[in-house]
Amino acid sequence: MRGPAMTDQELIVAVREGDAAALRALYDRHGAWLTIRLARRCADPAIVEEVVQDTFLAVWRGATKYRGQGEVAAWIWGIAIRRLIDRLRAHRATTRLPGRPDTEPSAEELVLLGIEHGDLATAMDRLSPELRAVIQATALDGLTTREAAHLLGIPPGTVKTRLVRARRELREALA
Amino acid sequence: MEQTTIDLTGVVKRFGAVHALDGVTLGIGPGVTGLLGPNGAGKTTMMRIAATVLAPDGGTVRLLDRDPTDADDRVEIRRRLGYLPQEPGFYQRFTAFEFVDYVAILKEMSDRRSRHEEVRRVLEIAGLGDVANRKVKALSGGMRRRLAFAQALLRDPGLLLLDEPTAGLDPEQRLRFRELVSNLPNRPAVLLSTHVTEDVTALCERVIVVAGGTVRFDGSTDALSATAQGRVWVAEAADARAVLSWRMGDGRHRHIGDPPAGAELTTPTVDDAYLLMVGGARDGREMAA
Amino acid sequence: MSWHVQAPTIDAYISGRIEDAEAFSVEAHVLACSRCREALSARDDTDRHERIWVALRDEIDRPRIGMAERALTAVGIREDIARLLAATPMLRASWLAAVAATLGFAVLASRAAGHDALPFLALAPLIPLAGVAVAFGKPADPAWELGLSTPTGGFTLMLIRSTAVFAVSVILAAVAAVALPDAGWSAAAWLLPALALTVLTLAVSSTSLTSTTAASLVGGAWVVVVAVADRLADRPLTMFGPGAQLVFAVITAMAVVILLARHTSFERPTRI
Repeated sequence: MRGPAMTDQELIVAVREGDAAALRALYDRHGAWLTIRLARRCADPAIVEEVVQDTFLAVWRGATKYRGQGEVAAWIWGIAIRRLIDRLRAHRATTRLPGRPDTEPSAEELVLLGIEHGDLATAMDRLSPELRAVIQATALDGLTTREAAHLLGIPPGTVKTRLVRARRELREALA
Repeated sequence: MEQTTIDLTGVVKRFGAVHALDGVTLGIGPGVTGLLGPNGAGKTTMMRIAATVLAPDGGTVRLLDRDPTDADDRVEIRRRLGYLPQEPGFYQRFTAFEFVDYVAILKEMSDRRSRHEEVRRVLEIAGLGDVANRKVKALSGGMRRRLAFAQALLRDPGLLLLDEPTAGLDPEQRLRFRELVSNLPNRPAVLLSTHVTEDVTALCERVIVVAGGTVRFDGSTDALSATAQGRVWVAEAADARAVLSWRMGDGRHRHIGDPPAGAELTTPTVDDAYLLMVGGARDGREMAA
Repeated sequence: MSWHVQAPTIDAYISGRIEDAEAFSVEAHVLACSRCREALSARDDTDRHERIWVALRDEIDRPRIGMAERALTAVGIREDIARLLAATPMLRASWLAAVAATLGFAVLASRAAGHDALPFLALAPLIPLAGVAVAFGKPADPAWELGLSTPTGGFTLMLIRSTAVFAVSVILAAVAAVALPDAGWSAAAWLLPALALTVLTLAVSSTSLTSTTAASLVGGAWVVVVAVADRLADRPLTMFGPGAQLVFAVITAMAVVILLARHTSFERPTRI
């Protein structure tokens, strides 16, 4: 009873009923972006693969926990990033973000969250990598200060001060 | 000299007053051999003896060139054996994977990693890869049959015994099953018992017909058909002189038996030969087909 | 969706040669857009994708390890044997509940009788008997015929299952024995009789009798002996006194010898 165009929500329902092929379908849809996104937060590819595997295992076992709130992708990301944090805490492995290569700024118009943010992009680029990292962790990945601290391997206090500084610098740049 | 995998000589088996096997002598080698016969013919008894699950009351048995009455030989035989019983029983609360894994442990696969790989391999062959984690009680009848088939494939047995593997399957499932058997890797010696002649014509190079506990025929399927040569005819109406007759789709009647003079003879099929062989004689030992 | 990520941006994102701000944009967008997720999947490393899936699927399909199995492996039993032990068909919740109820009844009977641990001591050895009686053979074990055709089916499997049944019975009975009226050495006086009866049943079932028949015979004989001894003896519980314990030990030893001598009979396929 599985057609080619099942929605993510329908696949979750199937997974709840123990349909392994539905899990495969979900993995085929979401495995790629998840792996790449995690790799941008953890330099160790083995850990990244482990976390992806654990995440879909959690989806398999805990499909009942998804209560239809928002995108399945967002729910999966929530599971994954917290797995990554737990993993890094347990093993204190490398948490350094991959080094930023020297590139020319993209010529394309950037739209962040559906709003024209050409200015925001430029302002962000002016921040130091550490400040950008806390913005990414909190604003983009939706982590609490404590979780961000675990992910980045810095004390929560430092996360707070960097956030304050980042916001201030962004405000000044956009003013 | 061709190596025989199963060697029965004068094998006798009684259950109370019933002679399930009455002096059976045959040899089975590599390839797919069909054991064809009506219910109660002694097929399952023969399969059980070949699977070392039943001991005969008389005669000698040699399996894979070993003696099943010797304890050590028996274990060696069982190491090279795959058996699909007529009524395979399952532990309902196990998943498909867990069930095959359990049998794999019984087949002495103690290393977990290699065992799981082997379990997955046979599940894939049987087309059950996607339902490996489903509980047995949640599997359909056809899937359970395939599950029982999968466990028989563990460790690539040299001798594969399939007792009525297509019983209770619908035509599509039967076709799938035949495909499975004909595509087996490593070509084991297969003994397949059935009362469905299509299974035999589709799969078997050789066929043994049993009825009433004795062997009626042992040879190729072509040779079997040939035994009915000149004894099959068609006519517009049913002829009471025939041993058996039935109405065909086009309204005419097919007969097997001794044709009257001038009858319209037709090429016999395996089915015709089989029916002629077992359906005709109605002595007291045979049960209805 | 008013816009979608362009192909060059996707490539830049995947390769890491992208500005952070732009990456943030891509990531926030991808979370809400299935089309761009698809685009990412199309350009992803398929080897890695498959590799993760194979590991994932193995995790999903692998047999569930119950508590009993974990406990057994914790005390050093080999993993596959632990699995066979834990999978013994008789060790189902229903049987365990029945056993617990029986033992509970026996304890109550003993307490009600006031002085006498006899009901309990007489009953406890029968528990493993009942389990062993149905631990193998077609009715209790649906996969019995199949198991017989394997190298382990037969004697080894019988030993493994009997051990499992016996051990569980002993544990349950030991727990129940704590509630006996005069707990003390008599609380353990049933142990040796239980062992003797169990091994004797197995030895008897190595003949042409089924395990159920053997257990009935041995169990019946036990009940008769206990009843007669209770009537004839002047002191209560002579049946479980030190002298009697010695007799049980001897019976056990003899039964073990018989069992080992006839172990091939469990392989010999006489009964289905």
